[in-house]
Amino acid sequence: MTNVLSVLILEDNQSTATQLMESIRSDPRLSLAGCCHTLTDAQTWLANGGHADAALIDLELPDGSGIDFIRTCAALPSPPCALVMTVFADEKHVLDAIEAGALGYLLKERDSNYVAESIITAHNGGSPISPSIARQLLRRFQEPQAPEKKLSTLTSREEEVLRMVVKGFSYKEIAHALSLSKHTVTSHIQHIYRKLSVRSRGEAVFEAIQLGLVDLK
Amino acid sequence: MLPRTSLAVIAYWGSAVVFAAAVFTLLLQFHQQRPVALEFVQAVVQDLPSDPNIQTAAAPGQTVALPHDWKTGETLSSHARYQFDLNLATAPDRLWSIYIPTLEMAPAVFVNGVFLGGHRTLDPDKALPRYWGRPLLYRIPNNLLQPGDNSIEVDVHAQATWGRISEVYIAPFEDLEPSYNARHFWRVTFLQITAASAALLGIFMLCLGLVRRDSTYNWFAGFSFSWSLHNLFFLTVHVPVSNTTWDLMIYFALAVMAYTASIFSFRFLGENKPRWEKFMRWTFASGGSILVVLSFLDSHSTITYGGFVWNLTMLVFGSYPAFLMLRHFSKNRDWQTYLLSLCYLLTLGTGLHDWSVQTGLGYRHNGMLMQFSTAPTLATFGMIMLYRFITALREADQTTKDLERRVEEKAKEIELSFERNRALHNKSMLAEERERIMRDMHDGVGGQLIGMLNQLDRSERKQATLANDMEQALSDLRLMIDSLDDVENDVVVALGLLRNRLQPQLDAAGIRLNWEVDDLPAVLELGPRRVLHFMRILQEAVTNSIKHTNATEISIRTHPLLLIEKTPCIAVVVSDNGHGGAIQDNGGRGVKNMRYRAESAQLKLAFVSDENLRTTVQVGFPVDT
Repeated sequence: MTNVLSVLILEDNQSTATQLMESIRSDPRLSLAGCCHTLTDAQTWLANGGHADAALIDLELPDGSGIDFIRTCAALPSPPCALVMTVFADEKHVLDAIEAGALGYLLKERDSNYVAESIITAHNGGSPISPSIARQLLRRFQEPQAPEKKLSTLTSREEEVLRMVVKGFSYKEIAHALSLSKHTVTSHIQHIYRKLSVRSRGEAVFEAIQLGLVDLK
Repeated sequence: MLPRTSLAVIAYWGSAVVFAAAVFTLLLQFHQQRPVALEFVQAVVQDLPSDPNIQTAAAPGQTVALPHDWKTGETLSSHARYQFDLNLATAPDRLWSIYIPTLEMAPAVFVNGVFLGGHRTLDPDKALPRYWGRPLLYRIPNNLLQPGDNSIEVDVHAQATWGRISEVYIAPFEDLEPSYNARHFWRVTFLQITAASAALLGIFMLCLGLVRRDSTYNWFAGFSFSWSLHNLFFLTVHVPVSNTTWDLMIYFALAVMAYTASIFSFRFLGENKPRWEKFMRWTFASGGSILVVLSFLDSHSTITYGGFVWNLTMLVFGSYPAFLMLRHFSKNRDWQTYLLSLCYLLTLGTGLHDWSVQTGLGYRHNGMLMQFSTAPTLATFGMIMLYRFITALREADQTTKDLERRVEEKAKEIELSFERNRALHNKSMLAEERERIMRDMHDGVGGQLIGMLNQLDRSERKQATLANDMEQALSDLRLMIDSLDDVENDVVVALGLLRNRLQPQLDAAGIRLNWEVDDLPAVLELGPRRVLHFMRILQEAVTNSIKHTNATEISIRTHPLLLIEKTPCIAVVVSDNGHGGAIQDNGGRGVKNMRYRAESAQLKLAFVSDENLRTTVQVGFPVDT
């Protein structure tokens, strides 16, 4: 029997939150760990020992940004698979979230039937990606960096996958073109997301050392 | 108080008087240095038995006054012997000497029949030594002078028929030596220094000319060299060629002086005188040719013609630049042409003197004087040219600094202007973009929302239809946001964004999408506006296929080069496997919209139908744009 994934919802819009809860409850592979409407609620929920395998996080919250919660989650020993919910999947919001530690995003749609499937896919190592985000990722990883930063870089296969995403190819088409399984392609994407998160944390640490904010001795 | 103009006149003419007085004093001193000695002011002309064919300067036994000049006399001669009597009460107890300040041209001196110095015999195959202008001092050996009568004889060998001798002095050596030394310095050493200085000045000016690339310096260098040569020719005693040839060289050096001085002056004053220059060249060539021919025919005529006609011509040619210089000075009152005018006048004055000496019209015993104007003239000319050079350098330096400053200022201005323009451009771009987004919002989402509100008010339509419309509005909004992405002139990136939006719609309709997209050349100026129109056209094409053709497959292909309406384009083609009718929607309103968008975004659009009435939509970016 497969494990049931517990899911936390952080969404300020009551209607959307209700719809999401229904989607999760209706899928036997998922269980609802909690539902918070503010950042403070969510932080308190965590502080009180709350645990989830996955978290659906809205970015625009009444008392802060969902990105802060993603960071809090990322700092946990066993962080939940954080997914950002966005109406437009615009690159700025999504990339900020990925840098903070999110492993994907979900488009807010009229129909929420896809939500359960997306959570399971993301948890199993597959992450969605749009061409514009793929292009931004390529740019980020191609920026010249100081040798002492020693930040992670993309493998040639990861770069190849991203280039095909930029051209609008689906995972299935990319897998076919590169003779890979679809699962491998999605794994590549998730690796890239993780690398970006690690990279941005590495940059932050490097900058902190440079500024004397961190003492390595 | 005198007005400034009067002061200037006094200053100029006062300094001219001082200049002339200084030169006059210099010249006078040759004659002021008379030694304390016995001075022979008359002599008895003796016959020369050794050479009966040569006519003497005067009838044998005739007493003549010294200085004696036999060019001015009627007698033609090339040789004279002067005899002086000296009665001494006692024999001299120290060294005595004979001092002859000047003679023309070669001497031989005897005391009591004993040869003291000079040229007792002359080699007829060699040129006559040229001592003119040089003072002569001969020591008299002890015991040669006796108490009582002593006979002193001086032979003078002249060139052609022009001979002369100055006063003759006899006295203890130490009484005569200072006068001899002073005269020797001014008549020989000083002129040698001058000639060497003129040559060095010429080299220096040539260098300046090379640096400045200004021919004025080169012409002045030529002037200096010719003057140096002229003086050297004059100073040479033993010449390597015949005297006639040597005289020709002096004449030609004088011609070169006149020519270079004239051209130098023209260049200096900025005067353009091509006809005068040509006339000078023609005169020099023709006159010079006559001189050369004459030198072969009759050396006497050469000297007569050269001394009179040629040198006078040179004086005339030399007068013209002096006139121009004076005229320039009278107009501009500048110190440079003032000094140059003075120098020209000095040179012309001494030149006129020398011409009168040579022609026998003037007093001949001062000898030639023009070479003495070399030093002040060349020093003044050189100083002015150096000043001109330094001024030009300073001006060039200043000009360079000015240019650098102006370039810097201009660079700053351009930078500021660029910044301003960029700010304006950005402002304009922002305004344009804001306007576009507003228009799109109004036409697209705004219109759809208003329509939906109306429907809600009238409850005309079903909830499902409203939901579809709202979904369409949301899709439109997403497309607009996608269009704001910087696609970096890459159509494929725009296509990628579009597919991301189309796929859910296609999935919902159960239609398979053949995505045959490959790299395309960059499209210049692929801004958000063009991207949005391009995506909307494709979206419309896909939507029409979904709604009206019953297609199960839709293909989107890229073409790096495709002719659309006879225009080469980077194109995207949308086709389906339906039964046709994709462009028959809404009475053709969708097609009109697509055409409008294509026109607005400068895109090429074509609908190509096959025999099954299936329509292929071609959208392209003209390659030349």
